Amino acid sequence: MATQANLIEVTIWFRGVTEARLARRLANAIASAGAREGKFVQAFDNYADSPDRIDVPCRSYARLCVEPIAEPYIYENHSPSVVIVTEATLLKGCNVLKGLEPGGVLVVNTNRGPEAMLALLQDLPNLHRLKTLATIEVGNVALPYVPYGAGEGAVDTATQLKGAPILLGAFSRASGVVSIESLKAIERDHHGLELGYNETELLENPGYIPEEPTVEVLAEGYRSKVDLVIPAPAPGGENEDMITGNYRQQRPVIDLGKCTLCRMCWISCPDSCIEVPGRSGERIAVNLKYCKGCGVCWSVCPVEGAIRPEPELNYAGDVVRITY
Amino acid sequence: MAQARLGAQKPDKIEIADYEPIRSMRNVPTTEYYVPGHRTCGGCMPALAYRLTALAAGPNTVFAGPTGCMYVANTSYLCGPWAVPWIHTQITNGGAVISGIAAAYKAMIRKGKYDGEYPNIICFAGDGGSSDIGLQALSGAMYRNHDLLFITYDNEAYANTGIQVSPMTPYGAYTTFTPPGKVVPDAKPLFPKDLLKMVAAGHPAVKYLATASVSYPLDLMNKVRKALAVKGPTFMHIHAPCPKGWSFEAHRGPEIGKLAVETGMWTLYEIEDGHVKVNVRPRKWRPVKDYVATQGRFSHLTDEMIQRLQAFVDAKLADLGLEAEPPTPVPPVAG
Ligand SMILES: Cc1ncc(C[n+]2csc(CCOP(=O)(O)OP(=O)(O)O)c2C)c(N)n1
Ligand code: SF4
Ligand SMILES: [Mg+2]
Repeated sequence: MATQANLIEVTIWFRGVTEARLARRLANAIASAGAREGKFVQAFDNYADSPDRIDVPCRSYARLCVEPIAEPYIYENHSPSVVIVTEATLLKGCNVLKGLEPGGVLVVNTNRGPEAMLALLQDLPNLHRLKTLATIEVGNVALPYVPYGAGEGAVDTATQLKGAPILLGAFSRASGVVSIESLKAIERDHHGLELGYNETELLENPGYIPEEPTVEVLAEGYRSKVDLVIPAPAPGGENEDMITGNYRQQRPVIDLGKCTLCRMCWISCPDSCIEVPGRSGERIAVNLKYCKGCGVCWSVCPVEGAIRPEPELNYAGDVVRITY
Repeated sequence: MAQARLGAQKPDKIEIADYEPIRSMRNVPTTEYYVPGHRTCGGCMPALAYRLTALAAGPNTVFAGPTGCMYVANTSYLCGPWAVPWIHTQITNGGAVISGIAAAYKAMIRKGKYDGEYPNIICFAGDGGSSDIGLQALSGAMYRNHDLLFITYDNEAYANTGIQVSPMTPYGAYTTFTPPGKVVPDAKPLFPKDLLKMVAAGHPAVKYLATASVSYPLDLMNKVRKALAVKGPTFMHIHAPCPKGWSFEAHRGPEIGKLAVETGMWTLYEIEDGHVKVNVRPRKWRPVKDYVATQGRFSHLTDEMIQRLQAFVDAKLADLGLEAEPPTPVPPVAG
C-alpha cells in the first residue's frame, strides 16, 4: 500500500511502441486535469519497461495528491487505485491488479463487455479489492499497428491517439478521480470525452470483499530474480525466464489441410515459434508459450489460408501470465 | 562475374575447406542455438538474423554481443536465449573482445590446455557498434589475422536507445536525431558509409566478405558457413529490417527486406579472395519509390528527394557493375 494516505496512483498498461504515445497522453492528461483541480501531480513511465519493444506489455503512470507528493519514485506505482488497460489481451498475460488498493477501479478498452473481462481475472490475488470494472470500446488502438511511436517525438499521424479522449471519459466516469470538466480543459475532443463518459459499461463489485480475506500474496515474477549464475537454455530448448506469449494479440492458426510443409513460416520466425513437427506429433505446430503474434508467419506463407490470424481473446488459456 | 573493384585483387580463388552448403529448406539444421524467449520487438528481423546465424554455425560456437538491441533485448532481466557461450562486450570493443577470445583459444590449444576443436568465434554487432563507435575494434580484428567472423546486423540506426541516426541510416530517413524540419526537410541529409567496401579495401588478411539479408535465409546461412570455413578474419553485413525504427507493421519485415534487394537499396554479393560475385540480380530493378513507400521513416520525402535517393542507388549499382550484366531471374525468397 502507498505509504502516503492521500496519494492516488493511476497505472496505464499498454503495448510497447504501438501504444506508447497513447499511454503517455493518458498519463499526462490525467495529471494535467488533476493539477487544474489544485492537486499535486506526477506522470512518468515505468523505468524497467524501457526501452519498449513492439507489443511488449508496458506501464505508464500518473499520481495525484491533495498535499505535496512524498511517495518516493522507485520505478513504478506500487499500489494503484485505478488501472487503465489500453488493449484487452493484456488481461490474459499480465497481473494488471498487482498492488491494487482496496476499492480499486479497472478500465479496459474492449468491445467484449465487463463480464468477459472479469472471466480473465479469476486467478488474480487482488480480485477481491476490485470495486468497479469498466469497459469501453475505443476500437483496436494497436491494430494495424504502424508504430509511428518509433522513439520519443517521432513523426506522428495522430491516428493512434484518437482513442485517448474516449478512454479518459471512461476513466473519469468509472473512478471520479478527475472531473470531465477538468479533462475538457486539457483535451480538445469534447465529443470523444463525452462518448467515453456516457458509453462506459460499468460492473460494480465484480469480486469485491470489503474486509481483506487474507494477507495478499503476490506471485513473484522473473524480474525479481537476482541470481548471478543463470543456467543457459539447452540446444533446441527455451529461455524459461523470458516467456513472451503475453505480447500476442492475434494468434497464428494453421490449416493442416492446406499447409504444404514448405517451411517458409518456420525459417522466417524471429522467435523460433513454428515447430516442424510439433511436439505433440502434429506435422507442424505453433509454440504459443513464446509466439508474439507478430504476423511474419502468415505474411510469408505462400498458400492462401494455410496459416491465418485469429484474435487471441477468442481462445481461453495458452498464455503464461507474467506477474512482473 | 563482375570484375572486382573492391578489396585486394588476387588471381586465384581461395579454397574453402569443409564448407557444407545448405542446398534446400529440407537440409536446414533444426537444432536451435538461439532459442525462443527474448524481449525483442514482435517482428524483429535482427533477431531472425541471430537465429539463422546460430542455426548455420551450430554447437561449437562462441558469440560476443556488443551493446545494442541484440544485447539488451536478448538479455533483459538476467537471462539469455543462447544455448552456446555468449559474452557481452562494450558497444565500442566487440572486435577487440573476439580477438582476445581467438588468441586465447589458439594459445590454449597450442599449450595442450584445451582439447576441443577450435570454435566458431562470432561477433554479432549492430551497425552503430560496427560502422561508427565500434569501427576501430572491428578494423583491429580484421587486420590481425585472427580466425574469427565479425557480423554487422544492420537495422540502419542506433535502435536500442530509441532510434538515433547512425552512419548506416539511409539518406532521407527520419530518426529521433534527424527529424524533418524547415532547415533540413529531408531528415537525414547524408548518404551512408559503405562498410563492406571499407573492410574489404583496407584489410589484406580478410579473404571472405559477404552481404546478406534475412529475406534470403538460405543464402544467409550458407554465407555464415562459408565465412566460418575460411581461415582468418571474415566479415558479413546483414540487412535486418527493424519495424520499430523504420515504422512499418511488425509482420512486414521479410517483405521489406526483399524489396530492398529488388530496388537495389541493398545488394547481395560476396567477395572471395578479391573476386566479387553478385548473388541476386533482378531482371529489372524496381524503383526505390516502391521501397520508400513501405516505411513511415520516409513518409515526409518529396519526389525530388526520392529522386536523389534513386540516383545514389543507381551509382552504387553501376559501381558493382550490375547494369552491365545480362539479366538473370530473381531466385525464390528461400534462396
Ligand atoms: C560508449 C557507449 N555509448 C553509448 C551507449 C548507449 N547505447 C546503448 S545501445 C546503443 C545503440 C547501439 O546501436 P547499434 O550498434 O546500431 O545496435 P542496435 O541497438 O541498433 O541493435 C547505444 C547508443 C553505450 N552503451 N556505450
Ligand atoms: S528496435 Fe528494432 S532491432 Fe531493436 S528489438 Fe525492436 S525491431 Fe529489433
Ligand atoms: Mg543498429
